[in-house]
Amino acid sequence: MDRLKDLKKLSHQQAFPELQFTPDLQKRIYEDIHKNEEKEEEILLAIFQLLKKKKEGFELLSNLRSRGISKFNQNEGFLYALLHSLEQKGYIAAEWRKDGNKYYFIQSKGIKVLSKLEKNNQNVLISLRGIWKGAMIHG
Amino acid sequence: MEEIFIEVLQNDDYDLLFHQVMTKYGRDVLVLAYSYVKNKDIAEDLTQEIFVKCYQSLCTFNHGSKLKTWLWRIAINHCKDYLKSWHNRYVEVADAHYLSSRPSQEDVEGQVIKRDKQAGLIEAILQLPVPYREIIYLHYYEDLSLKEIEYITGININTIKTRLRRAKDLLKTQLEE
Repeated sequence: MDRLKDLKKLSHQQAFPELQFTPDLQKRIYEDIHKNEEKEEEILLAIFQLLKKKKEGFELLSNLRSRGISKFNQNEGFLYALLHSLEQKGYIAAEWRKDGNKYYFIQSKGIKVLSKLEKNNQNVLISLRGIWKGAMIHG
Repeated sequence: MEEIFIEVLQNDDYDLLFHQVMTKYGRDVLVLAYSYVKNKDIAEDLTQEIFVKCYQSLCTFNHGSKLKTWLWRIAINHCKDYLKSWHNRYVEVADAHYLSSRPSQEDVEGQVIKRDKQAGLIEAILQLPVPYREIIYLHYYEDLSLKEIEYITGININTIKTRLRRAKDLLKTQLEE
């Protein structure tokens, strides 16, 4: 099977000429990324806005739903993981009340991010992407 | 590549880095995906999804591994998840089979013969079951060492060796027919 050894000398052009990483495919990738980002941005914006008032997790969830955010519908755990990450990074805080529920509310760090998000600041999205991803891994 | 990474991230220029990764490895990923699914349209869809994943998790990439290795792990897992998925198992897709029918571009006779021979070999590789195909593809076409293949696929190196031997036997029989 010496022919196998020659395979590495083949370029993609020789071996798979029909497979091209076309500008169109690149465009599709960017469109997809953009769509996802808009969704993440929209959700974080909504969470921060809603947590200007202290809220319990379930209440937040139904508020998000009534804003048309369906991301957590089958996956409430992801919301709690996201809240946990946001709490750990100091964007929001939480307190336990006597009714046995945990109430979340925004912190000054979160308010800063919120105003940047409302102004569509790209840098803030990059730092939040890490939190989002972290929540996905643990969620 | 790795140096670019550090420099760029300090500038927070995430998108530039991503663009470099995508243009450098785009076609490699497309061909890699094709080697799993053997269908051009599906390979393109998977490539699209792989780079979206790559974009979303580039911030979690740590320098413990090479960028290419990291990307290949994402890509291979994604392709295998697709093969396991409901959609793939129950929705029939016409096989491309373009390798046998595609036109020859070079006119030098000798080259054409050699090329056809290699095309026949590639087609024979694509006919192998996935566990054998991926090892042959990664080892001979991509020229990765068995150690690297172990790291990327998570398959034990002894299993890789066994599959490689078996794959070569299968190829031999197939090509002699």
